[in-house]
Amino acid sequence: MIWLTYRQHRWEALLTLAVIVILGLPNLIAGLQAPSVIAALGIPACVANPNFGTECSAAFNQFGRQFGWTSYFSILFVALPALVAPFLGAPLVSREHEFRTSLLVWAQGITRTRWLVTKIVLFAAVLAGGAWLLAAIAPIAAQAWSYRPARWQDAFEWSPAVIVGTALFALALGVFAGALTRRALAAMLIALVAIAVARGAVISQLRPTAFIPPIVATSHVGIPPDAWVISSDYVDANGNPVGIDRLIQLNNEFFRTGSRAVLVSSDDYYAQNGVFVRVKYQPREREGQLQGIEFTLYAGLAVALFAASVWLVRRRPA
Amino acid sequence: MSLALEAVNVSKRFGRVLALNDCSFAVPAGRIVGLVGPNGAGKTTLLHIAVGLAEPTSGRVHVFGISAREDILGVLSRVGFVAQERPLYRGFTVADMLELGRRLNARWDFAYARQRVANAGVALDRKIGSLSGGERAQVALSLALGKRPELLLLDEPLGGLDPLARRSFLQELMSTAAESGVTVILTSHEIAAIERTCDYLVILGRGRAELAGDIDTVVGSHVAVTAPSRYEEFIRTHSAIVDTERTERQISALVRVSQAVDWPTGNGLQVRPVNLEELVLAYLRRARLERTTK
Repeated sequence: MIWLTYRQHRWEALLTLAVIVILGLPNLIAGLQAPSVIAALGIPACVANPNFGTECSAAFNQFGRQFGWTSYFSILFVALPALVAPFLGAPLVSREHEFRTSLLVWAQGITRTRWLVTKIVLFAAVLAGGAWLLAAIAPIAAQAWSYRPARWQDAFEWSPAVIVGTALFALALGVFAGALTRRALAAMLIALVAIAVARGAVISQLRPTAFIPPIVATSHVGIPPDAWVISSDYVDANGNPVGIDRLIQLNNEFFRTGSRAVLVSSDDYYAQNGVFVRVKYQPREREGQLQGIEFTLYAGLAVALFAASVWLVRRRPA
Repeated sequence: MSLALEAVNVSKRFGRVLALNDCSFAVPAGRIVGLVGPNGAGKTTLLHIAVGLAEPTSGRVHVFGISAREDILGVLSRVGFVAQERPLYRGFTVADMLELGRRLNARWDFAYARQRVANAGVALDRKIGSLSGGERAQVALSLALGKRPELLLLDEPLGGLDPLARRSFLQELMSTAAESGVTVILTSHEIAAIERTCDYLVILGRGRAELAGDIDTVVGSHVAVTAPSRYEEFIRTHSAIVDTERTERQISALVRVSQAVDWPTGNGLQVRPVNLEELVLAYLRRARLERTTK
C-alpha cells in the first residue's frame, strides 16, 4: 500500500517539495542576509528616532529595493492551506470514483479502511514535514520581510503550530469533501470555500477573543508594549459605547480649556467626565497557550474529518 | 456439489429503486456462467455485492460459503473481479499494474500474470493509457487472475471490444478456465458469445433470478408451441408459459415443460425445440412486460 501510494502520488509529493524549495530557499538566503544589511544601513537608529531625516528615508528605500520582493513570501502561509485542501486532499478519494478505479483497487486483497488510512497517514506525514520545514524557515526569512522585527501576533501566523495545524486540517477537509461528493471538481470547490471560511473565522474571531478571553483594561497605562491590542474604544460608566459626537466634544473641550497642562493625557480628562477607555488585549505570555489551543483545534478537526472520511468510504458502495 | 456463489434472498435498494428484489440462485463450482438480463436488472449490483464493493439492503451473497460482509479478506483472496469498462490507472505502466496486484494481494502469482500479459502481446513497459481496448481487457484479466482466484467475476467483459478482440478474449478465457478450473461468472448482452463460452445460465429480470441452470438442461426443458387459440388451455395446464404472442386465431408460446408432455400434434399444433437466444429473449421480454405493467 505504501508502494501504491508513492507510485500514484509521487508527482504530487515532488510538486509539494518543489514549491517549498523554490519559495523557501531564496527567502531563506534573503533572511540570512537581512540583519547585516539592516545594521550597515543604520536602520536601527532610524527606527528608534521618530523624527528621522532624509538619510533614514534613503536607508528604508534601499532596504525596500533589496528585500521588498520577499514580503510576498508571507502570503504563502495564508495561501498554503488553500492549495492543500483542493489539490492534495480533494482528489484523494474522489478521483478514484471518477475514474472508477475504486472498483479495481477495493477488489484487491486489502480492506478499504487500510487503503484509506495508509494514504492519509503518508500524506499527512509528508505534508506535516513540509509544513514544519516552512515554519522553520519562516522566522529567518521574516527578517527580510520588514526592517522592523515582526510582532509576535504577526509571527503567530507562521508559527509551526499554525502552519502544521492548518496544513493537516486542510488535507482532512479536502479528503472529506472528496469522500462526500465523489466528484473531484465539486470537492475542490467545497474544500476551497470551507478552508477560506474556517481560516477567516479562526483569524478574525477565535484567535483574538474566543480561545482565551482578552484582558480588558480601562487605561492605556500599564498595558505592556508588546501586548497584542485587539480593540480600543470608549465607554461610559455602565460599559455602553460612547458616540463619536460626545468624543469630539470632549476632545475639543480638552484642548480649549487647556486641561492639557494639568492632566497627563486626554484619557484622564475623559475619565473625569465619565468616559472611559476600554482596551482589549492579549499579553505576550499567552503566545504559547494560544498556539497550543489553535493547533489542538486544527488537529482535532483533522482527526475527526479523517475518521468521517474512512466511515464514508467503508459505508457507501464503491 | 460445492457452490461457488449463492445468492440468498438478496435485496438492494438505491433510494426508491429496488435494484435487486429478493433474488436467490446458486452457481456450482467449476462452471462458466453467463449472467444475462436487461439493463438495470441488477447484474452489476449483484457482482458488486458478491465482492464486497456494495452492501445488500437485506439477504446475503455467499462465495464458497462466506459472505463479504462477514469476511471481506476471505472473499477478496478467492475472487478476481474485473469491473465494467475495466478500470486501470492510466498513468501506470503494465508492469506497475502487475506490481499493484503483487503488493495488494497476499497470494499473487507474478510469473503467471506476466506470462499472460506477454502471451497477449502487451509489453510490460507500456503505459495503460496507450493500450487498445483489447489489450486493456487482457491486462485487466491478467491482474484479476494473478491472485489465482477460485471465482472470476467479469462485468461486461466484451463491451467496447471489436469482433477480433472479442474472439481472442473468449478463447483465452475458456482455455484459462479449462486448465485452472476457475469458476467464471460473466455478464453480457451477447447471447451468441454466451452460447459459445458458457455452460451455465442465470437470467436476471426485475431484480430477481428468472432462471438458473445448466444451459443444455435449460434449453432442453423449453419448447416453442404454435397452435390454434383453442389449445391455449391445454398449453397452460401442461406447461408454464414464459412468453406468448397471440393473433386472433393462433397462439405462439415459448413454454417450460417440467416433464414429458404428450402434445396433440397434427391438429394444427406444432412443437419445436428452442435455441438459447429465443429462450433468453422470451424471459427478458416477460421481465420487461411485468415491469411495465407492475
